[in-house]
Amino acid sequence: MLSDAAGLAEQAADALRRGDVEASSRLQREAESAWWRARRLGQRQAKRPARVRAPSARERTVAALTELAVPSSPKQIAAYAEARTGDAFDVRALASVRRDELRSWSSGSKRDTYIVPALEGPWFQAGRGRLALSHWPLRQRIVGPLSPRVDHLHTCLQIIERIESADADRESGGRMRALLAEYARSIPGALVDAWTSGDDLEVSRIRTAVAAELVLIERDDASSREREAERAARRLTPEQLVWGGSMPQVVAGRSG
Amino acid sequence: MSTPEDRLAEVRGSAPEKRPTVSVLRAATAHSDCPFAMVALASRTDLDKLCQGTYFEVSFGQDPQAFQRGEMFERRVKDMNYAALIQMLRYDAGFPLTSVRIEDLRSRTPPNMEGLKQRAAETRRLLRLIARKAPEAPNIIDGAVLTCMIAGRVAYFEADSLAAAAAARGRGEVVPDDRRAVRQR
Repeated sequence: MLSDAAGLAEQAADALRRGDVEASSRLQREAESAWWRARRLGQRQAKRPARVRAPSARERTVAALTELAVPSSPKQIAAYAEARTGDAFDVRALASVRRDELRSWSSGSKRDTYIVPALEGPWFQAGRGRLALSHWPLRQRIVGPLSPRVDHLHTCLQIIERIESADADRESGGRMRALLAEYARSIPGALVDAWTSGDDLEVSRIRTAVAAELVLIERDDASSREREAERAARRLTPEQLVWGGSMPQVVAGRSG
Repeated sequence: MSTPEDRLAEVRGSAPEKRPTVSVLRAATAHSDCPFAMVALASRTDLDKLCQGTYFEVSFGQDPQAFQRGEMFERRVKDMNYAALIQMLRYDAGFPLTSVRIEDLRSRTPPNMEGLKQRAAETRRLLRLIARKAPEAPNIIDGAVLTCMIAGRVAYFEADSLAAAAAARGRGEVVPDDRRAVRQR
């Protein structure tokens, strides 16, 4: 609308240069009218509250996985997403998201990142239990024997970081503390006693306990993931590197 | 030449079929000297249904809510990367802090007969690692499947989970937990 007004003003100036005063006055009035309409529209839009579209289950999953940075189960993703925003997350929505991602990949459309299964076991099968993001390095998407526990401890550290971050408001901080209490329950020495809730947990104590357990297993897990990633890169096709390989068929059973 | 399966199907005839559960097998071992019970077990004959309409008819069944409670317990124990299971094994079975190697066979195999066979093969491989005390041996096998022969056929025992840790004398100690379903091939 503003560009219309500018165009009319230019035409009015041309008409005046040609000596056509009548046309110039008419175009000048039209330009002023267009400018006022543009101004009124701008004022109306400024008064109207911005309509924010609620993020989809896929967007929330990508956001949660980006922050967690470890392969996570749908239930863990839902719990984290709910604690972050306070909005309910229906974990059943992830079943269709999972199917849509593979369909989208197969159709050849390009997305920045895909929600993919974590790669598990000696044949790097697509695990049904944990989700990852396709742009993560291969070693991050591989789940080794120590990975579930290491990832659990890293999730604790991520939650602690959220609690301590400047943008955590009182409500989301409370939800995050409740989630952290659940996560920390199995870490020796993290909680004062089994009844410690989100309100009275000591974040520094949990961080120390997490670090103490991590130091025992983190290096082994990292080297195992690195080794497996190299092996996967050698034996899988580009598509299998994203969506997982297949386990060989068992041709003969044996008791024992 | 007829196979053992064909011969057992002949024995069962038109009687109702029932796949044995672990509790049925456990009960059967207590009276394994009864040839009739053993034949019924091997031929998958449902003796409870066979007795319907007779004096021996049983008027009970298993509570579906008990199954639901069991499944809920299983889910909660394995929630958050097996946190509660690890905690229980540490406190109640003396597992060291580093004994948290987990192999989730259920997650990586299809939920069908082929998946069951794959899990059985994988369980065998992992149990060998445990027996050899290999450094990469797991401490928890989720969805382990054990096998044995019943009447010439392979029977598959599905465990909710199976835990193992290096015992004080250096020997592997294996603790199967709730071997639930049995399928025969």
